[in-house]
Amino acid sequence: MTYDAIIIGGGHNGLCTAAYLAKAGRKVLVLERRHLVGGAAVSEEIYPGFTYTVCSYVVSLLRPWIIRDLNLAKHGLHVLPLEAAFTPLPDGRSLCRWPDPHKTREEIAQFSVKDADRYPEFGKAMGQLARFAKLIIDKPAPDPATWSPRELMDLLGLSRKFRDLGDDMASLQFKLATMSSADFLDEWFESDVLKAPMSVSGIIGTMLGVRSPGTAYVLLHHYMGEIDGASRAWGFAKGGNGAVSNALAGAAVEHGAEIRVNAGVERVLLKGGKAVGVVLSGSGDEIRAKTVISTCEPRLTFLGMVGEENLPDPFVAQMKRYKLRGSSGKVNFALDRFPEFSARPGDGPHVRGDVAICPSIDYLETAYDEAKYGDFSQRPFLNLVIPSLLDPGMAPPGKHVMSAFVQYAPYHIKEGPSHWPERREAFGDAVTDTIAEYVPGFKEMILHRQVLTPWDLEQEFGLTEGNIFHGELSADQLLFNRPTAGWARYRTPVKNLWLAGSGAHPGGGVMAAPGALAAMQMLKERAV
Amino acid sequence: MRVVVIGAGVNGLVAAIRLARAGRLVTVVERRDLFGGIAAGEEFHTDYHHIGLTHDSAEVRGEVIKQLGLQGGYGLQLRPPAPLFIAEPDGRGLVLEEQGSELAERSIEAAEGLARWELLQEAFRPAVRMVLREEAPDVRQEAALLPLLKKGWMVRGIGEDHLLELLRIGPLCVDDWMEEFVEDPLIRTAVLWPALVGAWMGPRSPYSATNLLMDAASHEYEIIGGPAALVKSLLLAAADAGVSLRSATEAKAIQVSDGRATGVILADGEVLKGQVLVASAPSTLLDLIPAWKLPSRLVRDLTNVRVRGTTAKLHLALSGELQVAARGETFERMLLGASHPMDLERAFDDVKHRRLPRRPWLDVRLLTGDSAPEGHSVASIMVHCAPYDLDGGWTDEARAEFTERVMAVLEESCPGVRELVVHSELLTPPDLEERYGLPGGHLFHGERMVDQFYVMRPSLHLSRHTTDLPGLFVGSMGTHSGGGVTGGPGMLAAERMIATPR
Ligand SMILES: Cc1cc2nc3c(=O)[nH]c(=O)nc-3n(C[C@H](O)[C@H](O)[C@H](O)COP(=O)(O)OP(=O)(O)OC[C@H]3O[C@@H](n4cnc5c(N)ncnc54)[C@H](O)[C@@H]3O)c2cc1C
Ligand SMILES: Cc1cc2nc3c(=O)[nH]c(=O)nc-3n(C[C@H](O)[C@H](O)[C@H](O)COP(=O)(O)OP(=O)(O)OC[C@H]3O[C@@H](n4cnc5c(N)ncnc54)[C@H](O)[C@@H]3O)c2cc1C
Repeated sequence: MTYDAIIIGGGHNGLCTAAYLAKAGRKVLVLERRHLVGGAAVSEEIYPGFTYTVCSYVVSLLRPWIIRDLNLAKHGLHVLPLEAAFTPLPDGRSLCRWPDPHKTREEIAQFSVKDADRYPEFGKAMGQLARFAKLIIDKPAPDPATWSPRELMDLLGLSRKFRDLGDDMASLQFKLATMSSADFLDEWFESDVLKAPMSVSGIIGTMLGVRSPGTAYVLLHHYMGEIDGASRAWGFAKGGNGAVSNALAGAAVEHGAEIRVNAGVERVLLKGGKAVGVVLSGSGDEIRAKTVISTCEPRLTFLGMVGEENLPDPFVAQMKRYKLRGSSGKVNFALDRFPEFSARPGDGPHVRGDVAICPSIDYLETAYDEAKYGDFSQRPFLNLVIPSLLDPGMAPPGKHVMSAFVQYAPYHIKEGPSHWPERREAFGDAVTDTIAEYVPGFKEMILHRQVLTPWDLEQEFGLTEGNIFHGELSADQLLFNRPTAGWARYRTPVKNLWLAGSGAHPGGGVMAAPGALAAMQMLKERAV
Repeated sequence: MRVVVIGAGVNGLVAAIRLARAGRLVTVVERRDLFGGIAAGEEFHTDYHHIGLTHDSAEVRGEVIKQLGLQGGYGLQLRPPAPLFIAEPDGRGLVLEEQGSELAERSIEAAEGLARWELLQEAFRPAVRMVLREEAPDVRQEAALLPLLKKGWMVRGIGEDHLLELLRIGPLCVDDWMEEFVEDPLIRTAVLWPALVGAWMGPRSPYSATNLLMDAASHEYEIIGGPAALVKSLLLAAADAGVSLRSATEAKAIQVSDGRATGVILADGEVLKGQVLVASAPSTLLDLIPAWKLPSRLVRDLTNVRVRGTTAKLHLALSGELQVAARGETFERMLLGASHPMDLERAFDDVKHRRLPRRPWLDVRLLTGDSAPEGHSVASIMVHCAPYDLDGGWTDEARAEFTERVMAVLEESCPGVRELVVHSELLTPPDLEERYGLPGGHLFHGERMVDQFYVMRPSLHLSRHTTDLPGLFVGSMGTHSGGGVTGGPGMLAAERMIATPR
């Protein structure tokens, strides 16, 4: 018996591809190496009674049309809006940004009236640009080298839309695409306490600092975030981000897809240069299919599962220089009681969103400099969420889980990546100590701590070099260059092998867009 | 028809000559008591001269030299750039020259890698040259969609693969890009450092590869005698063309009536009537016209131009020549203090954090001949990276400490240099701002970075050298086609003025 398609990897993208293909009547099989699906969007009870959202922790760019197409609400997806963005300072002051613009204005005005005035103006401009950017992430990547008349018309249309933004917006867009987030924000705002938490969107998951050119464009993500059509809201999935994957898996199974866990793929089976199936690791079993779709990271897919000898040389060279360079870690805490921030006590709405530990631009840049020379940051940027406040089911009554996303933890430490296990606890301690500067008594409330270094992300989750997005989201690896020039439309140099994970356009993050767009492209081309 | 040019830098002079030859009555006013701006050669100590604040003349545009006929009657002479010596801590270092054999001796792979890199440059060169030679397209007009497309088409003439490659390379950091060709860090350093000059960047900064691309495509010949010789030649041509040149003459304001620029008001109240070309830093416009008379967009754009200076200049009068001990030779061009791209990165870290560089890196020119008395010499040293906004300010202690660190780097390669110093002159970024009118102490009136390049230099509305005020034009290196001693912006501004109906 053969399948129409085998999907390697049961992360949220693989599950999404499976759901779309199964819905279209194809017979599909998802193979996941771990004992559960979800990949980097997974919830696990690592410590009894406490559910960690192990890797990813917020939902922002999950495409609303996918939620509707696959009826994910029915399959248990429930996104709770984050209520605030809180930045405590070591000196006891703090800034909180709220969904209510008037409240936000008052907060910012404590630091700068000028900034408070400009903030809504900024939001308006960003909102406009975000609408333009959405045109790009909801479609296959444009191809600048194309000669096909239809695609040229598309390009022309896109450039018209760009021009229709008007001169000022067009130049703002260009600045946004190229400048550093710190420089970009400098043009608008003067207070560090506002600029720092805004600038960090540009560095998440990337081996760059807030002063590195090219980091500004990610500022848009905050204005593109939407939950089921409601613009500008970030959310938290009830039950953790595993709920996103579970809902997608539910949709896939409902349409007849088969999912196998504990089924790692060793290599792609080739015949006459075409993909005809996969070989499982361990058992060596072969499973055949008309097409094979990998949602693993591209370098792992090609150099690991296909093999250099089966690929054209220039493509091999491109894959070798594909930039991964993971730079993030994750620490999950089980806490005995509520972690109270001295800058603003209580478990009020200010902590029911994300908490950013980034007191200044210089702080962030220093953290980056340390990483550049092969160390984890002694005082890292932390993005904290306390999911149990929004979803009490995630911890026993009165107790809490806290998720700490950590930047920077470079995969390439100076000792060499394989030495990460020896440094794991020191890394965890740097995170704990940093939090303790804002949360008195923090160390005493820790019941359990799970430390994930980039090395762990690679070993456990198959994220090569620990890159959380399956490859840097830098301009040279986006759009028509994702994962590499000439292969941005989900096809690969190997016939019948397709890509549909975060290494494909539009890239990483829990947005399910690569998985859905790849499935649609394949169906359109009748490739499956 | 009268034209007043503010600023007698290379671009002001180029524009003045072009305009005078087109029949305009041109007056150039210069604040300093000598002409040439950053290209002016100066006697910084009795009998010791340098050849310009920036000593690199290899970016001057061939078409400008040709169009003004500088080589014929005006004495300008060109030659291929001198070889570059780059030092390394425990070794002989490397001499990089056009047909150098030393590279291959050091490493065949590196030589091959570099040859591959140069081949790629050749492929990109026509497209880059076109961008630098031509006026920036007018993106404001619907009709411009066509020329833009055509331009895109021509760029695409370089071939699909190269186009995609160009788009891939642009956003890279220059270190990653070079690493695709050469492993040896010394050689990488020797090739990539020019990308960082005038840029607020380290070699790990994305988009620095674009700077190197631009740089490699624009460098060709250098001028014998450096920027100072270019100024000399331009002054001869200007005199011939009937340009009136006034030094020690500061423009205090631009006269605006009925929404047009009608002349320049000098410090003593004298008014020079005519169209106005601002060939000083674009943001000086804000000092010359009250903000309320300007559209707010223009004010915002000019305020937002990034001009964070990172370069200081040290002039040393020496009672001998600088010998590289490891070689027993002297070199006209040297790169000292950096033998690994990460050395350059560390120096930039210090700029970011507003500290004195722990280890500055030096672009050194050794000047002999007319520059110094017989047997003596001058070292013209561009010192990177020096923050404009040094924490605590550029106090006397900071200056002394900074000079000391520069001397320490020099000593490593040229021991005994301290004994040769007859006189030294240090110009920190604030000094450069003060003396040369460079905002932020920035050498090029605007950091080199893609969003301040081409149609965006200095902003979408000023890159075609016109402004919102009729009769007012801009044409310094802060406008398209960019920074350095090139003459390109001046020429393009003059052409635009000639083409603009009154
Ligand atoms: C610590 C961390 C925090 C993050 N935070 C956020 C966030 O807050 N918001 C956000 O939007 N994004 C976040 N991200 C990014 C986001 O989680 C990922 O981009 C996304 O989940 C990737 O989905 P995917 O399906 O493309 O790939 P993955 O989730 O990586 O799925 C690939 C799957 O393939 C499996 N696999 C690997 N090798 C094999 C094999 N040989 N055979 C079979 N299966 C194999 C893996 O186990 C995995 O399940 C975060 C990522 C990390 C790591
Ligand atoms: C496409 C676009 C780009 C924008 N870019 C910026 C930006 O980069 N930075 C920013 O703060 N706002 C920016 N804004 C917002 C906008 O400039 C201000 O909100 C607006 O100037 C205030 O409007 P106003 O009519 O109240 O005052 P205006 O009369 O427009 O402004 C008052 C005075 O302040 C000057 N001014 C305003 N902003 C700046 C500035 N950033 N730098 C120097 N002078 C300034 C104006 O030129 C004017 O002289 C942008 C808006 C748009 C649509």
